[in-house]
Amino acid sequence: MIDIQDIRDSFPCFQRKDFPVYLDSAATTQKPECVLQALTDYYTASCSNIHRGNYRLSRSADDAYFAARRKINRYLNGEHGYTIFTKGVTEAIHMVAFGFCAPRLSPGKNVIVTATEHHSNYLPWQAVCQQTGAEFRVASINSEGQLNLEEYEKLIDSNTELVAFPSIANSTGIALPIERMIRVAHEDNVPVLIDAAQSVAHTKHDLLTLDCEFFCFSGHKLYGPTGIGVLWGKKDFLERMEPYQYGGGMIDQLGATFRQNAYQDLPERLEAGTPPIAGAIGLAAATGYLESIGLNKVQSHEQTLTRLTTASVSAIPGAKVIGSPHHAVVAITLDGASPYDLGVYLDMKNIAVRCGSHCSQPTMSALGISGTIRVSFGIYNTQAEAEKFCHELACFARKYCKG
Amino acid sequence: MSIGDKQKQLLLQFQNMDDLTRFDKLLAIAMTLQAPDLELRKEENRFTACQSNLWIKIAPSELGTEIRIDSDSMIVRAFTSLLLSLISGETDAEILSCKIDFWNDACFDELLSWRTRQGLNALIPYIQKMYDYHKL
Repeated sequence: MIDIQDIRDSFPCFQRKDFPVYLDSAATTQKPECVLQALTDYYTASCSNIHRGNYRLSRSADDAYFAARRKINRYLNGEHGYTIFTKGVTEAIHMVAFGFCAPRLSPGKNVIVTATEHHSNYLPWQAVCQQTGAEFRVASINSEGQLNLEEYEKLIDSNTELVAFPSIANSTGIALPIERMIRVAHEDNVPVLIDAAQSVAHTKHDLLTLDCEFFCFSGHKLYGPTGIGVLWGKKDFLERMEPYQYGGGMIDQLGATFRQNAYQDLPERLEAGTPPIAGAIGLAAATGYLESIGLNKVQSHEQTLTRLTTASVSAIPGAKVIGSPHHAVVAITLDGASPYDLGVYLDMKNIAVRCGSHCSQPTMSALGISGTIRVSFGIYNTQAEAEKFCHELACFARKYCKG
Repeated sequence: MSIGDKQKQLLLQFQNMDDLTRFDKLLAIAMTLQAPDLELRKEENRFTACQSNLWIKIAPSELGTEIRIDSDSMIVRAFTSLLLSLISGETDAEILSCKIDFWNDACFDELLSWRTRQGLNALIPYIQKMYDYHKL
């Protein structure tokens, strides 16, 4: 059991009397004091650029940045690969799409995603296939949001260059069978990218066991700052990757021509320009925060809230929960009500949820709906907050939904 | 009464009340409207500038230019029905020169997202363009 009041006390936002019941952690999480303090410490005591600063202040920034990288790698049990700091998942996926896949794609080749992607794990692949003439394949989902696994398996062939999928669908909270999906891809020697944006704050990932080639997430969904993310990759795959961006910090010796350039070793080779130093330090503090609570306790608490909400919402006439969510996200439709109207109403009741397609239009199309109300929990949410949401949803249904 | 004067009167009905009462009033308007226009709710009639689904069709009829408009959002349905009430019975010339933007009043700040507001703002030039087209 976790002490929820103790948790809430570590988030300064909850000291504000007007702060809403915040049920939108899948979009971004609130930040604990230790993360804010880590940012403040860097900006007040170590603020300087990293790499080649021959003074103590810069060396302290170097130390903090490199320590953050080691800490994230350990958090993921990913010491057989490298953590590359990015702006977020979107940039991480672009790096793989255009740095790893683009040189390998051509007409006849293909890339596979699922119909339950966030657009950030859909559009880059669609774009790189368009540019290279490769085929963009999408494994469908059923009307409950579940992946059609047999179809996914049939889509993989000897011309598949990569498969990419989420660990948990952002719009429904449905977990994909990623272990099996990786195993099937590896039977054809196809590398796998996992978009872990929605799982990394809720469940423990062991990349050595998982055995994927690429793994990415955004820091701000993990109680860290915005503007920081991670692309983790196996060493041999990152070594075969072209830089997605060029600039300072990644070059060893500039040649007379582009072909004669010599680059730094990994991971610096893939981090052109001044990296997000403060963000990396803040993200490391966030992973430390989660480890201090214990991810098993985090998961247990959030699953309790998810189960409670799913059961209560299902009892409201006209309300439907999409699929069978287990991981802190509950997507809801209400007969006769648009998600937009519900979102406005809930806001007036000081409840913050997200409404719409959640940057996942392929999922909405497959489900035959235009959008949902999405409730998503963080470690700081209480049972009383979940109950308040369910109560207001029931009030809205009674008052404004005909029939 | 001009469209501008009608708009001022309409706004008076919504000012000086709290947000929840205003929300109630709008949804009460939406609930009095006809059932969803399923024939209108087709892809070719979709007005994509709005955050909610909005469908619109403007075509000449025996009685002049006819506007059919629908949304899956009751808030947007209410706003568009109020918009239609302002231009109903007005001449083409008045409609083409009018400025309707009552949803931009501060009293609706809590009810409209930036994108929905942009969608409603884009609706007026579209309606005027179509009126102009059918007038010719």
